[in-house]
Amino acid sequence: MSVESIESVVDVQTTTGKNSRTTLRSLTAKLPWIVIIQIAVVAAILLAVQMAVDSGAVKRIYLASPTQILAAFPQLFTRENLLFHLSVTLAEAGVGVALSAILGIATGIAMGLFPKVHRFLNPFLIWFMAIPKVTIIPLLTLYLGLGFEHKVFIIFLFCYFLFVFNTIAGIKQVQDNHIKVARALGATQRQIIWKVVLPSAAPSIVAAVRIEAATCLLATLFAEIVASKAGVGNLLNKLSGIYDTAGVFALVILVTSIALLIIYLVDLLERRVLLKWKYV
Amino acid sequence: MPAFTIRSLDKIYPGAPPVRALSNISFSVEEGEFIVLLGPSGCGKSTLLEILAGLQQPSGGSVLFRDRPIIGPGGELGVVFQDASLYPWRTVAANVGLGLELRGVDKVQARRLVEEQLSLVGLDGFGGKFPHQISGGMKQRAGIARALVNDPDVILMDEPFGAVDYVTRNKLQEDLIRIWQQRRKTIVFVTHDVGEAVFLADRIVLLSPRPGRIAEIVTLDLPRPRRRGDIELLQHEARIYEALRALEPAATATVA
Repeated sequence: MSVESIESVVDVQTTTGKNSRTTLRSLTAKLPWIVIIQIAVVAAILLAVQMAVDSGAVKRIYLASPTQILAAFPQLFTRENLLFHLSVTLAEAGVGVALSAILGIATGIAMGLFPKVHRFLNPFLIWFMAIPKVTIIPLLTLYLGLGFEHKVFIIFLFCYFLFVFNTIAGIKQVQDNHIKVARALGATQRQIIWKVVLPSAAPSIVAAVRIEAATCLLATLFAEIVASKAGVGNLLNKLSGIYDTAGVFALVILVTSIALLIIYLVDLLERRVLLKWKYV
Repeated sequence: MPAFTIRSLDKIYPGAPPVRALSNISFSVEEGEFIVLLGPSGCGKSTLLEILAGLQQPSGGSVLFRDRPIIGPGGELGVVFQDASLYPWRTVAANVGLGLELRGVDKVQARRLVEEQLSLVGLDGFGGKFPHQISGGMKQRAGIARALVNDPDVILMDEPFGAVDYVTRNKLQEDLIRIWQQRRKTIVFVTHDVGEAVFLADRIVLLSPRPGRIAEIVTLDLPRPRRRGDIELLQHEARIYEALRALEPAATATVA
């Protein structure tokens, strides 16, 4: 009986294995069709929105038609000085995420290498991380004003901790054998850190960079929408305040494109530079 | 003057209860000798090798390298590890050159030395590959090249061919003998494979398990190059298997 049940289990496993393989194959075979259907769906939605807005079935303050959104772009550049707002937002995001990365990775290295530092800092970090950021924004506005420092600090609160914990996790992944090799070749403690421990932690740190690349933009817009004098988030507030729905849609599309571009660039950086060895 | 002089060496790992890994080990390794530490798992042969490498400290007794106590790993010994332990983020050439880089050897000279080692171990043209792009046997060759690059007189090898297939292992053994003879090295080689031990060794130190003690030291006064399947090799193998069998009851008794 036991033999039978084992056989049936094996049978089930092989058949499910086969099934998943065949579905995968049929999926790749049908890929062109899926792409065609995807394009058709997008086109249908755009057309429906266009007709709904043009016919007056949906009011303009709720929805903008694709042609209106396209027409809003040049106005954003000329009337609303979009390039200025965009440069403010990108500068805030860039400085904020760079600061988080430098300090976060440094903290992570210190905590990963020295157990006493880890024991001391860990409760503080967890406490700070647990603060719901929204609740302290009024205080931060009071301390730092509405400008650049305010945004950078909020981005820091969003991005710092992941760098810390991913660096620690990466350092824990270092293999004893790899350290033994370096020691047997007479490496100093410092050489072991630079040539073994940090390269071992790199994939985990790069994973943090990947996530933060998108998070920092989110954090910047969040901070700008809550309290600001300039930036894309500020512009978004202004446009929605005057019911410029087409402009709001245009901004959302713009910000989404920038986020996609950043993700693509980070991906490229990972494949070509940071973790090149993995993709050879 | 012997390369290593080991006198009443003990190794005890602290804990509750403390584990005695090695007990009263005494032997010496002559310069230019190929010595094999052979024994079943749990006999402390890898521990003994790491003590010789300076990676672990003995608990008692003394270990001398050329009449001086071993203070720590110094880079004057080459060590080859079980699974090659190449760094996946470095190319084969960069892995092999690690020891030179750590010593600050200038880059042009380092490149030349690395090329030299790569061709010695039969990895010509593979320097630019990453470890995941080459086979298990080639990884071990790279591991050997990495140990050779500092031109150490002594190479310590911890079951280096355990993870590769039979045919590759035979080839690696033959190449190792060739390198050893060409370069006049002293080799201490750990294995649990009796055939491998008999094919390679000048002397075999047979260790018994839990705690590791020397059961017997077998001298193989056989001409080289040796040929697998030679009756004399097989006779030695048979004798060693006999000795290993004799160790077994004692081992099970201590476990129970």
